[in-house]
Order: sequence, then structure tokens, then C-alpha cells
Amino acid sequence: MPASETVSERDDALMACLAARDAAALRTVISLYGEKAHRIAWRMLGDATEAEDVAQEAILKLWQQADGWCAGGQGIGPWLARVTTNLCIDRMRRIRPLTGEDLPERADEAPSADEQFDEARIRALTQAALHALPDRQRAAIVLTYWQECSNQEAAETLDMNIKAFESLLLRARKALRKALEERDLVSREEAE
Amino acid sequence: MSDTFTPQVSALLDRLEPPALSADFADRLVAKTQARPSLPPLPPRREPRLHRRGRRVALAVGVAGLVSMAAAAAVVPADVWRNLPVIGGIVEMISPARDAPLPAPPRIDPAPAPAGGTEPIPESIPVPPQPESKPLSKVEAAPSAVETRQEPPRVEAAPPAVQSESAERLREPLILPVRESLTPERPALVPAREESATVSDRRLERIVPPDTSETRQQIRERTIIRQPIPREPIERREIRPPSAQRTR
Repeated sequence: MPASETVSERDDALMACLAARDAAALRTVISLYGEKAHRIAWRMLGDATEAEDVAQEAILKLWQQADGWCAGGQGIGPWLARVTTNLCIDRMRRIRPLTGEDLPERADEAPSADEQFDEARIRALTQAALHALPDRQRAAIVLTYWQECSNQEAAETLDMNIKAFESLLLRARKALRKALEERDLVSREEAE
Repeated sequence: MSDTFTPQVSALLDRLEPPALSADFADRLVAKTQARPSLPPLPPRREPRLHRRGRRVALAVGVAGLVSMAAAAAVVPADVWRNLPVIGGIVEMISPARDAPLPAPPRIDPAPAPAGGTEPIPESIPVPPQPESKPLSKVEAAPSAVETRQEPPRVEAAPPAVQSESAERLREPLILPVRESLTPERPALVPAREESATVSDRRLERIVPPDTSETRQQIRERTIIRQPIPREPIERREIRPPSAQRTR
């Protein structure tokens, strides 16, 4: 795969520049991988501010550990995904989980506002169903569905073997479907 | 049950689009890296000296407790340390033994053999079987010297002469040699000796004239003391090495 080799070589070169404390290289890394770290963090945490903090912390870790970077690895993307996921799991254990009580209140009786409210309500309920999952099950859904990681990559990110991760992913999908059914977002017949 | 999501679930999940990063995200991050240069790693943290000393003391106390428990479980007597080569000296220096070792009992030389001038004992004197004499094993029933000394002082009720004699005996060493306690002069042996002597006297009167009382006394003592102990005849067999038996 020449493309992945190119990405890996480019990442190694960027990390060498980060080890030399090159600010321009840091900006390049942020433009390439900052958005990805932020997406993972937001889907895991459900809060934009928290997600930015986590993404910033992950890239700062990359900056601080640039000296010990091993060239020829998988690249910056998987490393950043692993660090971001673990930071989110750590933070989720500290903060209060998001529940259905945080739904936005009805603000306007106008039809247009009603449509907007429905859309916001569905998103909030979906996010609440996602956050009702245990931390690692949520991370498995985020990595495989949104980040499109393979099972092997996701298992390495969560530091698990492939069999354990597949079991975890199966349980996560069942639990998410059940949580969506409880919130009347998915019909039971359609789910079965 | 399928491993993937249904289209309805996928549609719900696709609605969760994250917001865009703030515009100054990169600037803030670069500013943080410039403001906080990477520091060298800190040396490994060392515990305060008090904690280290306390840990050593606790460890020593624990080890001593374990050793004491092991010694108690093994029922080791307290004086066993005194027999060890180096530790015994230290223990003796720290806590000397309360009981000083007893003085060695006085050595009693055997009685000298009678002079050769005595008259030889005639071989025709028959040795009495002594059925009435008590065997030596019955001497065990008699109280030992130590027990006799440790009994309550009955001499208070005895006449003054006996009291003075008992007081002199108490000054002697308490433990007497076993040989002395088994000598025929002990009071417990006197009745048996006198019984055998009575039987021997009757036989001696038939052989030796009654007027030679001194000679008769000597013969009587020799007969009683030097009486041979009857033993069973020893069967003599040839002893062969075990290897020779096996090969045969």
C-alpha cells in the first residue's frame, strides 16, 4: 500500500519536526488530525467545550512525547485516536453523565420552531441513548461506526484482543438498540 | 440478530454531527506549547527519611515477632540460646543465668583391696542361692538421696543427736553420685544384706570354729559382697559379614 506508506512516512517526518520543536509542523498536525480528535471526543463526551479540551490535551501529549516517537509505526492518526479515547474514558468517569433530563425545553409554539424542536429532541435522545452505554461500549461504537476503524484497529486502540473486542462490540450494538427502543426512537418490530 | 445497525438506527446515528472546531483552536494550542516548554523528567521521588527509618523499625519488629512465634510454636526452651556458639555468649552477657552450676560431686575412690595377709577363702564353701535376698531392681523403691534431702525436716521431732547429724548432712552436696547411692552401705540395702548374712552365718558355723570371730566376719563379708552373679552361658557363634551371606 503505497498510500499508507506515504502517510506513515509523512507522519514520521512531522514527528521529527515536532521533536525539534517546530511550531509550523505542529500547525500542520493540528490541521490534519485536530478535527478527528475533536470528533471522537465530542461523540464520546457529548459536549463541545469538553471535546476541545480533550483534543487539545491529546495533541499536547503528542508534542511532549515527540522525542520518543518510533518511526515506521501506524502513524499519528491511530495514536491520536487511542490517546483521545482513553482521555475521554478518564474524563467520563469524573463528570456527570448526560441523561434525558438535559433535553431542551419547548421554547416556541410556532410550527417552524416545532420542527426545529423535533430535530433537536431526536438528536438529544439519540445522544442520551449513546451516553447510556458503558464507557468502553460507547468507545467501540464511536470507533467502528464514525471513525470507520476496523475491528483490529479498534481493538488495538482500546488495548484489547480481537475476540474480546468483537464481543464488546456485539454487546454495545444490542445495548444501543435497546436504549433507542426505550426512547421510542426505533420501533421494536423494525429492530427485530 | 445482525451484527450491523439497521437503516433506522444508522439514520439516527448520522444525525449526530459534531460542531466545528473553534477558529482559534490551533493558535491557542501553539501558544500553549510555546508558553510551556517541555521540562526534563523529574527524578524518581524519594521518600522522607523518617518514613524509611520507620519502615526499617517496623520490619525489624515484624521479623523478631515472627522468630518468636516460630520458637514458641517449635517449643524451644529459653535456655537453648545459651548453648549456641556466639549467641550464647551474648545472651549470657545480657542476662546471666540465675542458677549457678552445681559443684562437681566429690569423687569417691573405691575401697582398697584387702591386704594379701588375709586368709584365703576355702573353695569348699558353698554359695547360697539366696532366695530371700531382694534383687537390685527393688532398690528403686527406696527414696533417692535427693528426695531424702528435700523432704520436710522431720528432724525437728527427733532427738538432738539426730538433729545435729541431719544438719551436718544438709551441709553436704545435695546430689550424690549414683554409685554411692547404690553402695551396700545404704540403709535400704541393709535388711537384704543382713538376711543373707544370717543364712551364711549358719553355714559358717559348721565350717569355722565359733571362737575365731574375726576370721568369720571377714569371710562373711567377702562371701556376701563378692558373690558372683549367675549368668546364662553365652552361645558362641561365628559372625560372618552380610555380603558373604548374600553371596551364599
